[in-house]
Amino acid sequence: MAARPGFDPEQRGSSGWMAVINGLLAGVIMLVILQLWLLTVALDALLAGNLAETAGLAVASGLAFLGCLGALSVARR
Amino acid sequence: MNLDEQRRRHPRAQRYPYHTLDFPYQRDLDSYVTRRDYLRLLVFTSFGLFLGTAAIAAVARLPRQPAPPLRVAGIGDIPEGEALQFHYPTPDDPAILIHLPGGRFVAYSQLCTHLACAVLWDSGRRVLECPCHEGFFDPETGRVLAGPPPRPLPRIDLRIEGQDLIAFQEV
Repeated sequence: MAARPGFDPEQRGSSGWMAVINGLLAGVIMLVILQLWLLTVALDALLAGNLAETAGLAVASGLAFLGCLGALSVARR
Repeated sequence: MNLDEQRRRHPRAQRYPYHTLDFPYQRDLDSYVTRRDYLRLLVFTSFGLFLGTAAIAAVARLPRQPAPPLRVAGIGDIPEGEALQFHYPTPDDPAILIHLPGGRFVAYSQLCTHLACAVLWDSGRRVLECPCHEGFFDPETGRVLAGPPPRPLPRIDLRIEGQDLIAFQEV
């Protein structure tokens, strides 16, 4: 199938690349909302005295942050 | 984009004073946040949220100084079904001791887990009640029976030494 004239999906600023950026943005927004929820759960666990739960929540938040970093590295290509 | 860069990119903007560039009339003189800048901002936010969660986990792992034991009352000082207010683990922490029907003694922090109003012992209904927002706690276990409190009341462990009730730790 011939490529549409003037359309290069690899080119930055093209509609294909913009879709990728929008997708990354949506994913990162969801990860940040997840982290906000993790923070509130961790604070609740601390106040309730469930101290063992907080470490796992911090790890999950760290993984979400790494996901955000990965998305940023893709977007900066 | 700062104002100098905005002026450099748009030579027409040089004709306008700086303060008008904050809210320009012309659409092309306005500066927009790109998706990549927004993504960068979100990643910074994500890092901040991670730091916050990690800080909470670090605080949870800090060794806690056990509060010194405190004589609360004598066993015969409180009639069955009645309560006594005291302060534990510090003089600023209100707590409540209840002599349950059946002879058992229990003690809890008096701060409601909703918004820290003082909970009161309702001897008629035999519940701990927070009068601010109608929160009710079970005196046997401290768990929430009704209302907005999200967590049980912190329990204060007691032991009996001779004829004295001693509070020795908050759980």
